Amino acid sequence: MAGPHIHINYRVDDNPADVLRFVADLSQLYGSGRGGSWTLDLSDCQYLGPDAAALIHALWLRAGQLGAQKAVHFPRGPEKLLAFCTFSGLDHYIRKGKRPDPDHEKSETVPLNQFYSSASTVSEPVFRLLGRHLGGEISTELRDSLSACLQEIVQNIADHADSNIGGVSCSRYFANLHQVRVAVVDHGVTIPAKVRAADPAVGDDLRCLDRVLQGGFSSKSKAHNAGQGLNNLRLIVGNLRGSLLLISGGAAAVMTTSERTPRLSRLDRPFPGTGVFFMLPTMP
Amino acid sequence: MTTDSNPHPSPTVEISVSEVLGQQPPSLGLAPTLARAVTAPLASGTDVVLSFAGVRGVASSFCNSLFRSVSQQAGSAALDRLRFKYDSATQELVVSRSFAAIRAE
Repeated sequence: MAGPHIHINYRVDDNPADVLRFVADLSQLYGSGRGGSWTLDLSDCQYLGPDAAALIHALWLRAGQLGAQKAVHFPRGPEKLLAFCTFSGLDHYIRKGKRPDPDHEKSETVPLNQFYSSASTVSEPVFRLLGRHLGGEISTELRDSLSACLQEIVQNIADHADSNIGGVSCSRYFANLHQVRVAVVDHGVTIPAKVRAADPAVGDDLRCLDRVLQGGFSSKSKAHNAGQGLNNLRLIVGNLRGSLLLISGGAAAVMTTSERTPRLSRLDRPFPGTGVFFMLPTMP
Repeated sequence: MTTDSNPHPSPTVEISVSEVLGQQPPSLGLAPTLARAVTAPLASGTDVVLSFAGVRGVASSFCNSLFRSVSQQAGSAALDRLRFKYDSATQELVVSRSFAAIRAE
């Protein structure tokens, strides 16, 4: 197939360095429309997590809408990665493989989910997964935090993104690390574009992202907006000593378990939407 | 000696969000329903304690819509007679920040 051939021969774990490297590579494929073509070659990739799965599925859906010719070469191993491709639904949605079974006893993954408005379609499967693995040990704080984070993210997409693919989510529970990781990706209007439309004086993409993370800035797209959603997300994740990566347009914000003030950086090539990737510990 | 600065406190009613709307995370579309339940006692001079106990999470958009509706229907001063009970620090963070933002408008 003509067009860019992106060969991913590294691990794409759910950490900022891996995800930002992966996004930089994928940027060669974004925006390819009718008459365009590309190949994403994962055959030598050794690891994919929910962050990568959500990015790949969102790219695949958008390219399909734009009429691009596209191909994904799936990993050849290891066994755990092949299982993740099945449990996440990557295999089903891209290769027409077996439909994922989120209730399978060995599954630690909430499969890829394309949604347009309801946060509960994203959060309920995560609670079911955690309930199956943790039993009654889900704390009220974790339950409320996870739910609130997802509500803020989903409402942001509904109110501001105008994303043709809606949102794409994927989650995974890591029993050995006592973590739940959640990825939500859209290909809509970016946060910086929305901020600048409301106030052109805010500045470049990095300043725009910084502004919304501080809270109190609203584009007032809807009457119920007050500019708190992403700031709440940041505070909630920080309070639970989780981590957060936010990418939108030409900027990224990283918050780690030890550094609660987001570190902002500029992307060499802009991301055509918004990705929110966060981790919450499942034990206090 | 202590002095009671409010010897005739207003009657107070506690409203459970989960009893009015259920335990699921309240969707934005349900804010007017809760606003009506809160506004009625406030308008008749009764203070309200709004309990979020048993509600799974809550989002800023829901709270913003709720408090704006209450303010429009019962007057912004009525917000002074609204207090809250929480299940978690996260609920408190989301609700209190939204409440402060709407009161500041």
